[in-house]
Amino acid sequence: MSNIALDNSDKILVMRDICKDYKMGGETLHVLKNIDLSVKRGQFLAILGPSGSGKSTLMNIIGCLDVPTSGQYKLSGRVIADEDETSLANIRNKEIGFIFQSFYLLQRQTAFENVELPLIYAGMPEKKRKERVEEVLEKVGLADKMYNLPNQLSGGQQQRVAIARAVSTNPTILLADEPTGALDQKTGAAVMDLFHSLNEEGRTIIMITHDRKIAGHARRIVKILDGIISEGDVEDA
Amino acid sequence: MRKFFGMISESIKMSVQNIKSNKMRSFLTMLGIMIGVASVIGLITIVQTATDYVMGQFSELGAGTITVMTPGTSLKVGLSEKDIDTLRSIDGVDGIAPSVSTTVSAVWDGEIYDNVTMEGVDVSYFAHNDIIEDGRSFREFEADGYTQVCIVDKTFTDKVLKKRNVIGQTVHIGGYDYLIIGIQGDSTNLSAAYSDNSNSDGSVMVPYRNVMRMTFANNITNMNVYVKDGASTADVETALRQELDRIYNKADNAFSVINLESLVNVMGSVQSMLTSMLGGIASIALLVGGIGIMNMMLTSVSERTREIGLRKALGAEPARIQVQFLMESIILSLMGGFIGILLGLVIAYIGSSLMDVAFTISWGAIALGVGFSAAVGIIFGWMPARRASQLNPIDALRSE
Repeated sequence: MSNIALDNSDKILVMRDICKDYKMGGETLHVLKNIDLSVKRGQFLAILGPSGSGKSTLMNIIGCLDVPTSGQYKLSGRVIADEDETSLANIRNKEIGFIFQSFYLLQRQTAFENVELPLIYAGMPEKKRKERVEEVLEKVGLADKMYNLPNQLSGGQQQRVAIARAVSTNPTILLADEPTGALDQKTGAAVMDLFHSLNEEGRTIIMITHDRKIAGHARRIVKILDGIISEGDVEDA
Repeated sequence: MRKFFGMISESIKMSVQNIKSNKMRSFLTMLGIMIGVASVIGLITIVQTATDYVMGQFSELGAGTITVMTPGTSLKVGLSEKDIDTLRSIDGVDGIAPSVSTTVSAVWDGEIYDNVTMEGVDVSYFAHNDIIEDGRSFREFEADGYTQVCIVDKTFTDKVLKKRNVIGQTVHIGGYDYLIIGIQGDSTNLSAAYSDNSNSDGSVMVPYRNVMRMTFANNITNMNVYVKDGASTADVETALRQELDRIYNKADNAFSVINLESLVNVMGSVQSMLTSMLGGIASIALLVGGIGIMNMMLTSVSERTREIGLRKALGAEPARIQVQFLMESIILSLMGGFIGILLGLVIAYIGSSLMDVAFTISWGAIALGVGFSAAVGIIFGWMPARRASQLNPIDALRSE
């Protein structure tokens, strides 16, 4: 197999001929069809597509929550294939910072504890953890809400806690799934501003959305429809 | 390694948090374990306390002692002194104390006491029963003759003599004057235990020939055979039976030989049978409690499906999820177990005070309780924890 394209080191994410099939009853559903995608370090990429286009499946594969049926996926130089659940969990912890539409904060734990969670899984000692959590919460402007429970925070504040949690382990990619979907326009814009400033710091962001306007915040847009990526070869938009 | 301990301590923290936030449900689940452990501990402790007490009494009375009763036949009633000498020569026999007793009246200070037990023994009795509290026991020449010396018990001193300092005084018992030479302490022998009832005026021990003279008996129908240290009680018993068969010419029902040691053994097997039976019954309660734990953990897993999915997305390995849920069920059942142990000890305490025996905390039972509840937590928490760890993070995240 020729790996010339895959070995390009400024590309932190390279997908080659990725297919994902689901068996539904006797039928095989081809959800992703021969996806080729590469993402450079520091890129702000939007994957735009309507529901049912396969964008969630693509996100799951990028986020190492799922593995492709065929094709090659390389993340930070590591080939992701046939990994067991344990190593996939470790890869997610190190490489991916998830940001979800409905925040997914643990309701019984404070903002601090929510942000601390991935650092616990990374095995970071307690003292260092505390420093890091305070640092990232300060960065998203929630230094004064550190010990609030999620239900004591507004939607925008909750999403910022989730963003702080996503960046806490210093992952290779921030993977955001409809990050503004549950927010009003103004708070949504504030979250997008936060994305911009994170991107300016050099963070790679991949954002999955169905909203063309939100996608417009990204520097590069990839459209997905019926499992096929278009404009995918445009390296820089 | 540090990651492992971190995992355990985080799991404990999260479990406690979760148990706290579901107080009512957690308490009800714990109740099952509490009742199970309490009944196991309570029943086992009660059975053990009671049988230990009874066995203690038996072995105090009968360690190395064989009781021989020889009603004899119409041709030969009881045993003669010569027969007893023959029995004394059996290998392993340390001594034979004839045991004869009768009820007599005593006169002291002008008053008559009717209900005095007079017990006749010989020196070998004192070699095997350490009962003299004050004064001395019989000398050999006193014991073998009709010497009128006696050893009084506490009831006799309290009820008849009504004072303590009685050694050297003479008391009139059954028509003869006896010199008091000793006082026996707490009753550890059967006849003293009998005389412990309220209408008894106590008992006195005298050289046995005195009692035989009093009852017009020529032969001895009751005796204690003492076995030498290290000799087998069972062997001595067999030899005694053979010799008595020979003496009575194999007549039926001429004698009976009671080996208390074999009784103690029987008691021991009864105890272990009772313990395992009651323990088994109580374990059913524990099993039901365990099912309660499993039920709650399964509910908890399905309630927290999305949380599990999130934790996995954030990098929690399956093993970590499993440890977390397992820890929760172990903590739950250990908490129930500890309360159950306390409850069980209270039950055992009440039980043993009702039976009027000394209450002893059985560490074995406590270890059993802790072990049982931990085992229940692991066994019944395993399946739900495994299920949680195997949830697919995508499906888990998507569940609403």
